[in-house]
Amino acid sequence: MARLVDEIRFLTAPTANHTPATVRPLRQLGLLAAALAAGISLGPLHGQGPASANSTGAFSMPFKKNGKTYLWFKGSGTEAISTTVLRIRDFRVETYNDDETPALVGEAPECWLNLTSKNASSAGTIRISQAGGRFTHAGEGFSWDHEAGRLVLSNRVHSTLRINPFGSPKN
Amino acid sequence: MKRISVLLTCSLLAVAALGQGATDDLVTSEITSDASIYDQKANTLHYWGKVHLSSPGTLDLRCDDFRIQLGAGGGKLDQIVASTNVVLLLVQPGTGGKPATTNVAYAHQAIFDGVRNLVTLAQSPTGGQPRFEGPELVAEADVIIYDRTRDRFELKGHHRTRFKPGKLSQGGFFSPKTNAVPVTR
Repeated sequence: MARLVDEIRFLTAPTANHTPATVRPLRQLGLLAAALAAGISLGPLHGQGPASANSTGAFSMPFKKNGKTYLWFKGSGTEAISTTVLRIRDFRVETYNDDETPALVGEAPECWLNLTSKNASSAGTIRISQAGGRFTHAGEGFSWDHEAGRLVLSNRVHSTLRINPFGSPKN
Repeated sequence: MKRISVLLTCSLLAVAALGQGATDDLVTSEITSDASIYDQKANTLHYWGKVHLSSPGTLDLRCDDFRIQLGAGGGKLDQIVASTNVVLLLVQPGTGGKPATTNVAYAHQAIFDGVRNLVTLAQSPTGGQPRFEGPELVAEADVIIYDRTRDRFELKGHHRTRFKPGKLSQGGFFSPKTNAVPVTR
């Protein structure tokens, strides 16, 4: 039980730089608590097997820095793969500029989200688009490293850019 | 190695070559490849494996490695670097009732400098010199640079230019007008 409490704190405790604002994962924790109360084994949550805590409700996990939202994970359902990794259905990630205007939106039918590193990955498809629609980027098999700000697409990449392919206009 | 530099002005080269077919408005370009990395912090896109950039009516580019430095505004490109087996097809829109023409360039590397408005085609030890093929000439050089701002072509290093007879417009340096009666056979 002590270990579980540690994990709950781990999932929700604010850190120096980023704080989950609305901790909907508390829902998950609620599920976990309910599972505990019902006497369901929490062994899988310690990485010993398939997850036992599932949620079909909406998943929403915004992150704030200096009071401003800079990152928001969303989904329609979650499954705990381990203590720090969730499998999220209908995954959506939104990033924001310093003035909280939308920067990028990424959508994937499914992804694995590491709550510690905030890395998202999947063998499936992803499509990201820049606010304003000047840039879309899609492919199959991806890894998004939020701290590094890097999206790796492994297969069948397709981008559309609203650009001048020859750079700045003639003077 | 003695380097030879030849400047050919736009008035000589009606072909106008790289980039002149492009409009300065934003166009929708599509890029496909085997894999890619998007770096949000550096604002760069890196594609590799069967890269194909298509801007209908303007540009068609194929290569094995392709890097884009996106400008701050999103619609402007600071730099594009296409490497390895670069094949560049540029469309020059027709003017004055003339049909559109296409120019093709082959190079190991093509660099589009959006800040200085330069297109540089470079060679490789294994791939040989870059080659430009227009309707009126074929040019090869160690480095081919097109300055979009000044509409100037620059061939650097060992170079060779072959003008296609009869393709140059009358009145130019290589095909002056005369008063002679055309010969009929």
